Amino acid sequence: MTQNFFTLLNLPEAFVVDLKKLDQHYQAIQKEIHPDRFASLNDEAKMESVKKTAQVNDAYQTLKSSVRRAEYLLHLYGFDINEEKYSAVPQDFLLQQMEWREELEVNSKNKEALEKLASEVSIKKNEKIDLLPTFFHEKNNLPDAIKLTRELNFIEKIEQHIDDALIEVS
Amino acid sequence: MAYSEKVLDHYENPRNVGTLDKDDPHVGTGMVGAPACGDVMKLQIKVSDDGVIQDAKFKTYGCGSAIASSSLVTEWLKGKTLDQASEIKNSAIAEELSLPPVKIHCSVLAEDAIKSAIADLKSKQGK
Repeated sequence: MTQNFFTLLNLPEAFVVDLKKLDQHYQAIQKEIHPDRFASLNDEAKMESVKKTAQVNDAYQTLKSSVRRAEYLLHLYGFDINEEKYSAVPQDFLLQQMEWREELEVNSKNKEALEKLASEVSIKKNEKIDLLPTFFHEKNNLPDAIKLTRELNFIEKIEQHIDDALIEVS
Repeated sequence: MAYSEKVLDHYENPRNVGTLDKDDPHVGTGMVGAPACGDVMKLQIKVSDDGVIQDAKFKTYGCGSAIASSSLVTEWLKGKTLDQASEIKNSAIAEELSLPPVKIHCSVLAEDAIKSAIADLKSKQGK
C-alpha cells in the first residue's frame, strides 16, 4: 500500500507546507534508506530499499509543487480533479487558454514575445496559487480549490509549451 | 503509443481548421478543455434558418487524438440538423478513429464540444 506522502515525509497534512522542512526531512530519509546502505544485505532488503526510495522521491516531488500538492490533497479528500465533466471548466478561462495558445503559436520563434507571454502566464499562475491556502484552510472551500487546481493544470501545460519554445529559440 | 492511420491522417491534414464569427447569430461556439492533459478545443457551427449545419470549424490545442476527434466531427456535422448533431456519441468517434482506452477522453471532449456549441447557439437564439 502507498503510504500517505505527508506521513512519509513527517509533515502535517495541509496545503501550506514548510518547504525548508520538506527539504530537510527528504534528505534525512533519503540518506537513511539509500540502496547503497543495503548493498551487503539480501535481495529482498535491497528491493525494499529501492521501492522505498522511489516512493519517497515521488512524495517529495508531489509535495514540493503547489499544484501537485493541491491535486494530491484533493485526492486524499476523495476528489479526482479530472473526473468531473470537462465542460465544468469556466468558458472565460478556456477562452484565455485559447488566446495564450494562439499567441504562442504566432510567436513561437520570437524570444521577446515568448518571454512576455511567459511572465504574463506566470503572474496569472501565482495569483491562483496564492488563493489556494485560504480555500484549503480547514477545508474551507474545496469546490473552489478543485476549480483552481484544474485551471492550474491547464496553466502548467501551456507554461511547459512556452518553455519548450524558449529552449528552441535560445 | 502508435496512432491509428485515421488519427494520423486527420492530424497531418486536419479538416476545417479555422474560426467563424462568434458574434454571428447563426454561429454557435463550443469551448471545452480537459484538465488532465490541458487540451483546449473550440468547435463552431454555422446553422441555417431551418436548423441545418452548413459549416463547422475547429481549433484544438492538444494531442493527436484530440485534434483528430475534433477534425472528424467537423466533417460529420456538416449537413446535419441540430437534433442529429446532438446525437453524435463519443463512442462513435472513438470507434471511427480506433482510439485506445487512454485516449477515449479525447472523443468525450469532442462530444462535449458539440453539445456546448449547440447550447451556445440555442441560448443566442433564445430557444
